[in-house]
Amino acid sequence: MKAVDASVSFYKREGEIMTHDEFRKASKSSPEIAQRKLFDEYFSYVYTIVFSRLRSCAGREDIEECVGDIFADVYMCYDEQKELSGDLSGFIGMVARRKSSDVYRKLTRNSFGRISIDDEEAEQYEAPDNTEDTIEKKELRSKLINCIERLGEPDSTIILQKYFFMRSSREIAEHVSLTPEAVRTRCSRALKKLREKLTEMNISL
Amino acid sequence: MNDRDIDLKALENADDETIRRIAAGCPASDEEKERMFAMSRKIYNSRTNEREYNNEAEVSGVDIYRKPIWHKLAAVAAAMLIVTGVTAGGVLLSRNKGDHITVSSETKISTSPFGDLSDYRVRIMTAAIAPSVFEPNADKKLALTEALNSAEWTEISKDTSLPDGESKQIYFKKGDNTFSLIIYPDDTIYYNSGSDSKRYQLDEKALNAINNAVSTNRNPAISLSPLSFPPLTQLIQYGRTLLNPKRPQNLLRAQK
Repeated sequence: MKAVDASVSFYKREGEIMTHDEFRKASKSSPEIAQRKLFDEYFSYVYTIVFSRLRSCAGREDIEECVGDIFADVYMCYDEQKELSGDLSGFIGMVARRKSSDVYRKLTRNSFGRISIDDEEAEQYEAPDNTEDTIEKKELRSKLINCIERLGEPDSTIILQKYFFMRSSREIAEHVSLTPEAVRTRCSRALKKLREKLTEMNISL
Repeated sequence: MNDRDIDLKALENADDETIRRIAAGCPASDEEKERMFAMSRKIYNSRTNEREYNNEAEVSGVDIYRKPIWHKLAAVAAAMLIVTGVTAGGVLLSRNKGDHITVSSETKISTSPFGDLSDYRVRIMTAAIAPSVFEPNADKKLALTEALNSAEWTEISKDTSLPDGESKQIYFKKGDNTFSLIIYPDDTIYYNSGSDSKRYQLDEKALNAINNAVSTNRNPAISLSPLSFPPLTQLIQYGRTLLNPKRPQNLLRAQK
């Protein structure tokens, strides 16, 4: 990994976000190194987008395959000399959202019945005008993530990994360098704190 | 998940800002990351190879193909052989023309046991109009004579018992040649020419065609015109017999 970082340091300082042109230039000299850099930089972002979309219907293997597919799509876009402009992370985020939505539709295709648009029952399935609902959800998400972040490290990470990414205490323990028992204890306390904060804000989950 | 747990479903499908904040706690291990990177490379390589393969399949430029000379010579020889064969075959055919080919100009025309009925005049008597008769129009007459000509006539015993019910009689005349056919309700037919009489059974198709031609009378019945086939007195007499079909022998005697 260090060798990779050194090879790309001629055009990037650590922490800076790569641009389309920079990735193209790096790809010309060594596609694999450029791809590795891109992957390392955007992996967490892409993985979270995919997990956020598919956590209710897909297994880990499906999610991993979707992530691999998304990065392959991104590499191909550069190979095909497509005109790309704007923020690289925005482009990758768009590819990730589209691909994960495709996978979501594929996986849930059989769980929804199909109704003709002319059917009388179609009205009750019609998407309501949910602007208010969307704003409320966004506010709720923002408050919730604020409350989790206020727990501080490693509690916020433990709560997210346990209740959003659905990881076991053993897996979390490896990530936060604690024992599984310590993770369980901290998780229990952090959860209690989080509940108190949410109650103060009149939020019930 | 029990009551002590919390459901963070609210964070699903989140907006970009929230995603970036959650991504800070991304739990994927180095091993998982390596696996996914390898997968992305594998998919990328397979797609790239596929694309290169497709590109290689494309061709450009013009490759001039020259046939070997012996191909031309062989083609000329084959063409000459075909021409010679066709000419020789034509000559042989023309020499033997007419010796072995016999063209038959005979066409079998089906007729009734009493000959071709198509040029006979026809008059029909039914119980409803007796003793009057009517002449069917040209179409009906054609249908009737064609049906009689093409029917399968099976001769049965003249002594076959006569059925009850109304019968129909059809008169035929061509010059001096006259005869009549009586169609009984049991679908048998009685032929009577004065000098000869027979009884026949017809196939169902012919009977249907005959009944259709005989029973459909859109023209009003006409009085018998002074034609000699058969004489008016006989027709009147026979009209009476139609009401009692068990007496055809009377008619035969009267005609004699």
